[in-house]
Amino acid sequence: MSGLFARDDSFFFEVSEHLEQVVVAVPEELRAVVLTLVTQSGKGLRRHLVEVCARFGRPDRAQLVRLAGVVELLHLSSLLHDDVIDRATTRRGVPTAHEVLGHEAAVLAGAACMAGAAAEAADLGPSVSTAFAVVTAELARGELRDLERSYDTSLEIEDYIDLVRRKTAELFKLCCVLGAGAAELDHTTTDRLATFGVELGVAFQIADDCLDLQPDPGGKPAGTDHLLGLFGAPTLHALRVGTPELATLLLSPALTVDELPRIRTLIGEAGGLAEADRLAHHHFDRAVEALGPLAATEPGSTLVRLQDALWPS
Amino acid sequence: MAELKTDVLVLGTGIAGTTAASLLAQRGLSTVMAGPPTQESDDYDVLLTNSVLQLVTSERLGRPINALEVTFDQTASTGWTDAGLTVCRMTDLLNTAADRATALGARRLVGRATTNSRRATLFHTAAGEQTTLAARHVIIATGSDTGPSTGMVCARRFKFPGPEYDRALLDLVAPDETDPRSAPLSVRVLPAPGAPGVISVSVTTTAPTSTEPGHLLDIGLAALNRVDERYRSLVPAGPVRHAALTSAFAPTSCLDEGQLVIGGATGLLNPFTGESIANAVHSARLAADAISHYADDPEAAGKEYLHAVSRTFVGYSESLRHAARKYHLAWRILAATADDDNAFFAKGRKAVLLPGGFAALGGDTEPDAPGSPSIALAPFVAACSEVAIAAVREEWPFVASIVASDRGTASQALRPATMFGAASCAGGAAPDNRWAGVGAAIELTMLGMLALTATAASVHRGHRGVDWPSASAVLAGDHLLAQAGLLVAKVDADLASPFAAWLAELAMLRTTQLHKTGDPRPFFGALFEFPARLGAELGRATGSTVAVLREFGRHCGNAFVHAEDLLGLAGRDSRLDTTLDGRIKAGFSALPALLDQPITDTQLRGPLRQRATETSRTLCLDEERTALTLLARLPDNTARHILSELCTTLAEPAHHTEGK
Repeated sequence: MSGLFARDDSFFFEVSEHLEQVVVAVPEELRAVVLTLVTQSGKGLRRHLVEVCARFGRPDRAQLVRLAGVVELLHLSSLLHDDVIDRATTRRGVPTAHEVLGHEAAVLAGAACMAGAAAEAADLGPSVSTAFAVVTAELARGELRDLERSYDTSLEIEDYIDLVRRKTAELFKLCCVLGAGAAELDHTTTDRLATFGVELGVAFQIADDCLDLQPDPGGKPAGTDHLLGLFGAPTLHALRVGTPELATLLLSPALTVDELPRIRTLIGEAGGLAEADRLAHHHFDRAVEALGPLAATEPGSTLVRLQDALWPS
Repeated sequence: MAELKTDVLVLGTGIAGTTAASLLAQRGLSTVMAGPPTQESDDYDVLLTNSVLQLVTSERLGRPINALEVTFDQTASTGWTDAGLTVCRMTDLLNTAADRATALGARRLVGRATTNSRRATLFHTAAGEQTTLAARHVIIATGSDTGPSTGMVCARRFKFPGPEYDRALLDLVAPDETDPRSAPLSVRVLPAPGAPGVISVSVTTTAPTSTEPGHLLDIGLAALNRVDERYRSLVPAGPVRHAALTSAFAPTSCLDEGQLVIGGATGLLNPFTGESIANAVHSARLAADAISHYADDPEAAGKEYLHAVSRTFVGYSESLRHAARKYHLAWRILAATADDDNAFFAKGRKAVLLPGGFAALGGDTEPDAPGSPSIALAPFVAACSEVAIAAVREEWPFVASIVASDRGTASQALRPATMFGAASCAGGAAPDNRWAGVGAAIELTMLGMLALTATAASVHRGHRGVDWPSASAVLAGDHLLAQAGLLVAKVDADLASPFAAWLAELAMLRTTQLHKTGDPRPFFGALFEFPARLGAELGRATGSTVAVLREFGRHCGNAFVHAEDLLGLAGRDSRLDTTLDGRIKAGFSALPALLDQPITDTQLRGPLRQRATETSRTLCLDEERTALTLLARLPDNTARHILSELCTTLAEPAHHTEGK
């Protein structure tokens, strides 16, 4: 994900500092790897969401930092486990945890982050703890659906959106709901922000699918998920309307990175990228629509400007 | 028109119907079973476990089978020896079962029945006479071909051109990679009972099909050819039999307007094996139990049956929309882990592929000796199972099968839910049924940790794609932990904190084991300590009682590790369903730490093996003694009795003196 958004830098660093405190709960042997992930945890879109949604009221800053920490820890846990599942060897140019620590240790590091997040959530009260439990279960369901559908070249786009909603968007929703909770917002406002989070999450994932197909200046092969049999929105659309050559290539047991450029060409020719881009914008529009009157406020306009983060000009 | 009144009317005289009628008549209820006579189309061969056979008949029927071999097309194979299986002719089985039911006092009516409403069933004999049947309880056992057809089985006997066939072979045909919705297909080969040199081949598909039976059989034979060339020149030795199947099982469909639906009519069919008899017999037994328990209250009997079914069976078509995908995922996991000796996969394999495995008879229905103290907890533990299975059945039937089958492999005394429930009695009151969700969460967390700690990177086989063993183990672990968290949140959000702390502790202890000590006992100690502690705290036991139970739990965990080692050293079945080598590799054995050297089963010979056995036994007995001494301090009798039974059952391998 590239692109910029108007983040509150001091909040960003407060959350990072807090996370460095919280990971003492992670076994010593695994802590360094988790800390590496914390320090290079991207631009902090998730904690940004928590912070902006809380701007609709007057949150307690310290509590807000802890809430953002819950989301980030949960996210770390799923990154650690995803890398094991996807056999990823590097993340942001650094060797992945299981490459450094070994397989089971990396899995345990993920479990420890999950435990740390759950402990923090429990400490922040029953409503946080329950929301956390619900989202964790949705995430796990989403990951299962993701594995189940591998090699499915005829996955319906509705099923794909359902999967994305669980796997990615639920966590975005949690950010918004926790921020709203910290600001003690009313039900209507919280619901608006929750819907915003879900739709933003779907738009984010589909935009990411498109980005994943762009040639990387760093030379990392684009579209490696195809080797795992996992096809995103552009590919699924191209499979539906394009030539059968694409499906034949994608299902070939001998598929390697060498065929990825050809796959990208086929997806592009079938209009897969354009259609996925349209779909992502559609969901982003729905996110803004859900905000309703909130969009006109200062924090609301900050949320709307996340468009620049999804589609940097 | 004649009228016939009876306590129970069983519609259908297949294996489920006759078994239910026998059991009910045996318990003194007047029972009528009504259905068509045994037909020629019933003449095919079936494979069943000896425990199922014993429920159907006390006669020695069929032919024992020593080994079951399972192949995943050409990609992998696995199997069991001494699985306790028998192959029978279905007609023989049906006739013996019907004779037994009649001998026990059930009345058999041959003809056709139509139900108008619950209490007025019309019965037509072949001669055209009609009888009205009035019954308090009605059981529907009309077979798998009466529901909506979602598949087909066809079978034929062949002359086999090799040495006498003495095993059972199950070939699970690989799902078509180019079609994620392709139908599951399994092929089974059995030696035909009473016919030397003849084998019986049956092919099952559990997806709707318009294929001709003969063609389906050909597809199955072609798959067999890929496994072994000897199947190329098979000469038919009998007619092609075929039947429609339904595999659309959902627990709620087992109660139809107050009538108990059992057997094939429930859609209970294992899509991996085509096996349905164990489930049919088991469902008959559950129905008979429920009716005899509530003989005067049909509504309560129905409810009881529904609960029992929900905690016993897991189907693969519960959410039909994704059924094929769920089947494919399970197939990939099974095939990729066919030679994996890890506890999570070994349990999954057994639960899914062994006939009757996921409804393991014997284990859960007659778990403990009469008078066993843990029987007092049976309803609570059953409720825990029901909640645990319900939490995973729809999304992940493979995992739910493990949860369901685990009830059968160990006696109830060994269940974590028993530990939890018994400890909760320590404050003097029976466990609150609301806590069943907590007991379920404890069991799901334990299985989740088993999956997460079981993950090793697979040897990269050089092909593209997902690393199925580790991917599935990690996802299953995450899924189980998440569902446990959700259950806890539903029961009492205040419990989220101790659960999170437990998870952190387990991760910590396991890491220390892997990186420093190599000793698995602290990890297992913490696994057993938590249910004891949480139970005691919820049951409002005093601080000192909680402290006693925490210690007790830890010693039980240690005893468990030594007991597993002793079972492995003696060549006995392990409670984790793995071999000694599997446990050493997974870091579940204390032997490398105790002997202070890396070791394998085969390296443990002569005096070294003896030393390993002696050391493990001494330590196991020590742990047991310490744990029992602690229990003496408990004020509550119920808790003390159940927990001492749990502890002695755990340490039983240390009292078992024969070595390998």
